[in-house]
Amino acid sequence: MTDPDLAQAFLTAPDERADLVDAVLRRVRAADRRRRVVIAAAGIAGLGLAAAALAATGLLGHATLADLAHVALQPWMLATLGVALTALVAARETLAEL
Amino acid sequence: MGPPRLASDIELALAAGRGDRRAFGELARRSAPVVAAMLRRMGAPAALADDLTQDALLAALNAIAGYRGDGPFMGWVMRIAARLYLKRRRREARIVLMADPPDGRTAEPATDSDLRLDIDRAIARLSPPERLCVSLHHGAGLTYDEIGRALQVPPGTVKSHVSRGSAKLRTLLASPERRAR
Repeated sequence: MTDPDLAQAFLTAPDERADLVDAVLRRVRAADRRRRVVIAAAGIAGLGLAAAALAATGLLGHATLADLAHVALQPWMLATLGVALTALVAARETLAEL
Repeated sequence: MGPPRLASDIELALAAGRGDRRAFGELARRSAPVVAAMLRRMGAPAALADDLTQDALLAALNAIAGYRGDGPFMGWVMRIAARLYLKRRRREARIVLMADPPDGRTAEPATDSDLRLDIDRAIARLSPPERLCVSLHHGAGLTYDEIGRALQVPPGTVKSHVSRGSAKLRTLLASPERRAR
C-alpha cells in the first residue's frame, strides 16, 4: 500500500451528513444577510455624512462661528449625524460578527 | 442521451465565487462528511469536528478565489480544517505528541477478521500521536515541517510518528489478496 493509497483511504466517509451541510448553508445565509445589512448601513452613513458635509461647505467662506454652530444644532443636522453614526456603529458590529 | 454530467469542483467553485449558493451547497455536500471524518480521525470529539467542519467550509467560501482546482475541493478544505484544529487544540495536540516517545512497537499481527478493518477502525488502533500525525500528513496533506511548526515540535518527531503510524496502517489495511502474494 503506497502513500497515495493511504491518502485515498482518508477520503472515505462513513455516510452522508445532511445535517452538517444544512448547518453550513444556514450560516452562509446568515452571513449573506449580515453582509447586506453592512452594505445598507454603510450606504446610509455615507449619504448622511455627505449631506452634512455639503451643508457645511455651503457655509464656508462667509459664515461666522455662530452660523456654523446654528446649523450644527439644527434638528435635521443632529438627526442626520445621529443616523450616520448609528449606521457606522451597526456596520462595525456586524462586520465584527462576520 | 446519457446521464447528466456532474459539475467538477472547479466549475462549482467558480459558480460559488459568483454567489451561487446552490453550487456551494453541492461542494459542501461532497466535502463535509469527509472533512468531519478526518477531524474525528485526528482525535477531535464529534461536536468539535462538526463545528470545525462548518468553520472550514465558511473560511473556504470566503477564500474561494484561492482555490485553483489543482486537487479535489475536499482536500483543500481538509487542509483548512486541519489548520483550524491545530490552532484550536495546539496545546493539547503538542502534549499528546510529546507524551508518547517513539517506542518501536508495530501493529499486532492481523487475523483474518482484522483484514476487513476499515480506515476508522485501523486508525483507532494507532497511538494518539500516530493518529494525529498520520491524519494530518496523509489525510490533510500537511508536510512534516508544517505540522512541526504548528505544534512547535521538531519535524523529525512528526516524521517518526508518521512512519510508524503508516507502517501499522498498511498492515491493518492490507487486503487478503495483497497479503497472500
